[in-house]
Amino acid sequence: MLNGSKTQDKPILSLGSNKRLNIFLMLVVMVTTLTAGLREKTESLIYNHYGDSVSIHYKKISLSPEIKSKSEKNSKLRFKRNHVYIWEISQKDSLVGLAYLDHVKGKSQPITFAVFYDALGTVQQTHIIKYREPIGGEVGNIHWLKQFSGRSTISAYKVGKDIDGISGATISVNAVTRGIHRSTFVVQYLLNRNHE
Amino acid sequence: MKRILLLTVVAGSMIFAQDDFFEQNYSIGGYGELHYNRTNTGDGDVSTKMDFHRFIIYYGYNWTENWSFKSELELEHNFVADGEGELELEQAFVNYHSEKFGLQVGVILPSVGLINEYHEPPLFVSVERPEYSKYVIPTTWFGNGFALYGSMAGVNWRLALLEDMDGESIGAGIRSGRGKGYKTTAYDFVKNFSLNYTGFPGLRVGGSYTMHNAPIDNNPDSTVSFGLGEFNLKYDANNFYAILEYGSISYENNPLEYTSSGGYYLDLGYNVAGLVGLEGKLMPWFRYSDYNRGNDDAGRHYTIQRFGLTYWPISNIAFKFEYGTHKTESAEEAITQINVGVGYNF
Repeated sequence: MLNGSKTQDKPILSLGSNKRLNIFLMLVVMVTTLTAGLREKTESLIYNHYGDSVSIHYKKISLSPEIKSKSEKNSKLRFKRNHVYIWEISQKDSLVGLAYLDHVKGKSQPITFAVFYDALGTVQQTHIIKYREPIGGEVGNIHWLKQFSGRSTISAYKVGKDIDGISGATISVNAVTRGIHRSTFVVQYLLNRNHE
Repeated sequence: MKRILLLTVVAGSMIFAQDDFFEQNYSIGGYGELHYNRTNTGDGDVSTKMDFHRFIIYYGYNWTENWSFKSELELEHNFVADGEGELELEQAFVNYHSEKFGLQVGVILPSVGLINEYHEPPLFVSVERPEYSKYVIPTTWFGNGFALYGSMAGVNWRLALLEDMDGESIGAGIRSGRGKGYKTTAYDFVKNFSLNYTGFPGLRVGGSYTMHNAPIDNNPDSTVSFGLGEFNLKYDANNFYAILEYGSISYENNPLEYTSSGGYYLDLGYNVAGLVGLEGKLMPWFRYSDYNRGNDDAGRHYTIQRFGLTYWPISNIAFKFEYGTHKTESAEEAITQINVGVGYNF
């Protein structure tokens, strides 16, 4: 299984003491979890793609400065957060792929997308899990998203040359393309660590 | 003996924050275009013009994932004084948006033609917007009102109701009848319904029908009625670029006694950037257009041909050059035009 650690944000609140109450310690652990709807939709698509017989293991992965920097530099897109969501897809205890869930900023709202990889880090399928704007939703078109299948860290992702643009959805097209490109480096890093 | 109470309370609790990626925030965008126009007729004098035609700032704010505000403020011709230039609030609406349907209330755009809603300069090849998108479809057409919209399986629908138009200003087309959100009446409402299909990559095909009984001098008992039907098709993928728009307006009680107006334009282009080893997109293109602003009137029937070259170094910036002729049926000679421009959006 992957070495990426499951993370929790932990703002710890320590309340003060007095003579009668030597210690009053309240420990609050903030656990950020993926909204149920997004998780359910992604997992349903995972089973559709990899088959009902696979077992899936959901993790929230914190991004190390090393992989964050590398993937941002190569995709020319910064991460807004320090974590992404990953599902390990296994068949009979053998890793067959990874599913990656993240978001990019569209014109004004986040676009939540999922990328399904094989065990070598090649894109197999891409989905827009949630699009929140009235304009530009064509990036969710499965025919357009098929362009990313077969790509990896070493592929070209130039919009207009390697990836078709969509008239009237320029911002969304650029954002999703860079987001998928960025994901290839994170997934490749996780897979490499798994093999070490 | 009871000693000092030593109470240790360790209360451990977990707060599960739902991560849906949404954050309350504002967004800023915009577009603009600078034009150079050179015009002459036959051996007549040449006239030239440089104009920063449009400068638009987009501002939006998201309260929640579903509720947001969106706006566009436009300055035309870089100046407003003594009846010259225009400062317009082209869009300003509260938007409810969900995956199934949406609602917009405020200053909105009707869905009519390709360019009325998608009018950023890098989205069309010519320096100026097509004449069709000015005199057949009065782009940019905006007004006070509300709209419902939704989509399913690549089919998008939208129903918009907007303020009345000025019946007395309708004549050679409906452009002059736009109220632009300025103290308009609301006796009849402009009723606009549109459908389009975007399920095939690079293709958008759609159409709309708009009807209205426009009050004359704000009198709902005396109106100019019109129905505007239009069809639009755009294909932009695999280096091919093609547009066809056709629209027709029928009138009752038109002050200029026209019973119809309308026309079409066709754009064809091909991206040759890959062939010449250039980054970005470089497209030679051709346009043919025929339209009239009133039936059976040779003085308002126009034929246009244009050849152009447009270069997008990145998809948000377009440099444009074109040469064309503009012939009025009743005129002996065509007007020759050379236009150069740059447009951007962000």
